[in-house]
Amino acid sequence: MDEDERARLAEFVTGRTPALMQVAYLLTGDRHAAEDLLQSALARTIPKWRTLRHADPEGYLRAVMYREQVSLWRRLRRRRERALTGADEEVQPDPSGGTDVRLAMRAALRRLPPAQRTVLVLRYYEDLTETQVAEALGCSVGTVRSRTHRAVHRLRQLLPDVELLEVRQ
Amino acid sequence: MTGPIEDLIRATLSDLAEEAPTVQDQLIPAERRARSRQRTTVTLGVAGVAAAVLLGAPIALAASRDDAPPPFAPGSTAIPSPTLPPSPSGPWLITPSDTPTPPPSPSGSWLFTPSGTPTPPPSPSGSWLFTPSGTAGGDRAVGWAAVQSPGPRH
Repeated sequence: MDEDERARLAEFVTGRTPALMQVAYLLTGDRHAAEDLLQSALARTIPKWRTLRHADPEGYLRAVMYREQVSLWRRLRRRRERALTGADEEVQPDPSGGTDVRLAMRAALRRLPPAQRTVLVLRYYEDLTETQVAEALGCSVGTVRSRTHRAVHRLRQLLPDVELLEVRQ
Repeated sequence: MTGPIEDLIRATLSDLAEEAPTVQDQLIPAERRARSRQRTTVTLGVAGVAAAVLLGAPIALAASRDDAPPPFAPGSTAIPSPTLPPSPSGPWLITPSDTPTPPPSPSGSWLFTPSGTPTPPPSPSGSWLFTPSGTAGGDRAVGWAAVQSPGPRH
């Protein structure tokens, strides 16, 4: 990679890191895991920079992040790290009032499996359609639908207060 | 499909995104990772090729030597066993490993001395000599005698 291309790459990384870090943080729910995910995706993108430079490098990088997050290898590594560190302990929702529902929702989102959380982030934060999510993750639209349904169902189970919210409305 | 829970999910994700940590230069560690990945890929590729050669070379050698048919493969013509000469009058020299076969003479009888069955000589160099033991009114042999031929004398 010559100096000109490296300068463009550095400019791209510097400019897009905050937005990409937000997505990585939402996908992982953890600062260190988010940093690791972003670096891993960048490491896969850098060798292809010459061909991606004139196309859509950010789209490619995001797709790598989404797929890396739900990949089998990463899941295995995450399980091993969790067994070693004992991190990601359960957070109990505070039942004191309605304002705590969001805090409980944060905790519930952390407890979702990576595949379900990724689908929720893509659908409700990135505002992608089911077809776009399926393309980004490399799976079928039916898989996206079922994962979304399961994720929402699981959130309802973890947050019984949300049911009360719906009844009040 | 925007119920209260979907709205809550959107709001919570937006809140979480605002709290995302700010990180500085990610390019240098990412480049280091990319080099490491490349090195690992090359190493694994070389190891895979070496393993394939190590496994495949003996198999390829064995396959290349299979051109000649096996000696007793089904369908191949069997090698005929050597037959004794049809002449009944000539002396037969049979080594201990051979099995004597009867001569083609229909009327002749076999006489094995001293016990009827030729036994191998005690010395490995000895051999058995079958000779016609007698004639009955002509040249026809009526019996056969197994006589141990003398071995080499020192």
